[in-house]
Amino acid sequence: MQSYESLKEAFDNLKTKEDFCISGSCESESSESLIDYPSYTDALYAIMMAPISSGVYISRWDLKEIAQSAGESMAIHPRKRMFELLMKYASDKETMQLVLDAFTAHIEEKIAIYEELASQFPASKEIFENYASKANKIIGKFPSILKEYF
Amino acid sequence: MGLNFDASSCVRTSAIASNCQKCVDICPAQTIKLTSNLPSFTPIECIECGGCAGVCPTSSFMLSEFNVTDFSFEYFTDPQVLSCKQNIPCLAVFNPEELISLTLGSDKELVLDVGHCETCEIKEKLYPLIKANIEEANFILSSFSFKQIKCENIKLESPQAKNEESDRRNFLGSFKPINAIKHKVEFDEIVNKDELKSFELDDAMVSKIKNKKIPDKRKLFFALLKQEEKPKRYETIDSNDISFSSQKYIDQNCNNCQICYRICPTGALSSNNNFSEIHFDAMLCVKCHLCHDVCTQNAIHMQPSFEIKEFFEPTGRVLADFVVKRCDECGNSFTYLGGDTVCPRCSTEEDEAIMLHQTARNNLK
Repeated sequence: MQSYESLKEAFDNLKTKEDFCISGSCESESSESLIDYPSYTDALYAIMMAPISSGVYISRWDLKEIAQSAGESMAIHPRKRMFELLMKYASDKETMQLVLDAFTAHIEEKIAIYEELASQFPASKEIFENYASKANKIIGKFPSILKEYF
Repeated sequence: MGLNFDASSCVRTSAIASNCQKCVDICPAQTIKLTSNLPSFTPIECIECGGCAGVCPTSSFMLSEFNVTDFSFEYFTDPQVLSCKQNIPCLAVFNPEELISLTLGSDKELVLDVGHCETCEIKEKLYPLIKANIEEANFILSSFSFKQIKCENIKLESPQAKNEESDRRNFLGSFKPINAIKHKVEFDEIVNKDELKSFELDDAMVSKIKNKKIPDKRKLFFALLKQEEKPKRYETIDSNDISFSSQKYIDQNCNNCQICYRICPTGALSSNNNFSEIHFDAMLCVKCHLCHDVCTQNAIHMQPSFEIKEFFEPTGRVLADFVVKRCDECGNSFTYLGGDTVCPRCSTEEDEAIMLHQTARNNLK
């Protein structure tokens, strides 16, 4: 029997289930990673899904429609999860091409809305032009994304 | 002293299917009853023996002025004979796990004074439990230690109550605001003592239920075992000889409904990231039987034996593994048991949709 202090310390340190493991003997978690999509997804998510860089807001319903256009049926999840699932689906060059085409069509629709608003409300033209220019830039990046990652 | 009940820890709060009523069965005053599926009691009827606290697997019942874990730490520094007339409410307040901890935590032999048990007014229910607990603790101890619990008919008596002579200063001091509040609380407690104390689920309780909680008795037990020397050979005992832990297995009837590990109060049952496996850690199991009570498939079973090795080298065992696939319809993951890659929810919805269309078509005709 060791000292009272060491026992008290050991007792106080037992807070979670993991603390009951001795040298990792309880680690029966499967080695399968939660990340079932490629790492470039994070990079694409940052440039495509943030309106500050892409100029358009792509909602969850937009993502569902994009997935549908690319041939995938998708449930509504948080945006990031839906984007990850979409990238998981686009595992080869052909499918990725379909996904990017769907994105292009979708972003072009949004640009058309910006142009219409800019023409009807000329005072706001400056704002919408900025958004449309960012959106066009994103579409321009798609061929290089395809080339770089596939 | 009073009795406290933490409803969020009670297994009956987690699942209506729970059959646990150990507290009801053991209460010698018969004040603990089930009201709306949860234990309830009338404080004035409670004799504060702590029997309910001793049998509760999740430590939902506690005496307000006697905490077994705190007492155990005090005992380790100053080991004394445990007697209901001197330092504990009743020997029934300790379960076998706690008796083992008390034995392991001190270099001195644990001596229990059972001299008053034979003549005790509440012996009918509690004395057989005390004897069984001591027997179980000694049996388990013998599988890895030379230490044993000793029962003696010492018949210690209560120390003479000191006559506190109240003086003028004490009397006037009782009128201070802080004392007035104290008196008010005491007064309310006394007034409400004859009212039935029942419990209902509220939002705060629901959020507490979700937290897996490992009882202090198990933490102390584990901390003490870590300091013990490992036996050269691990023994295997009959599962009926241990009341506070178990080993389990799952048969082919399991459909991975996930309920057992979601409601396990201590997290002994758990799953992996994608819910394709069911894991079990015997060191965390408190044998509350809740997983068995809620299993609609009767797929989870107690292993007939228990390996003492689990105390010294806890392992997380995979009891069952399943194929998890994404549903073709909704895209959500589900346990695939063969056939179409459609989750049970979508498949039910499709059946319902077909039925609705058929009904509508028939009505049009």
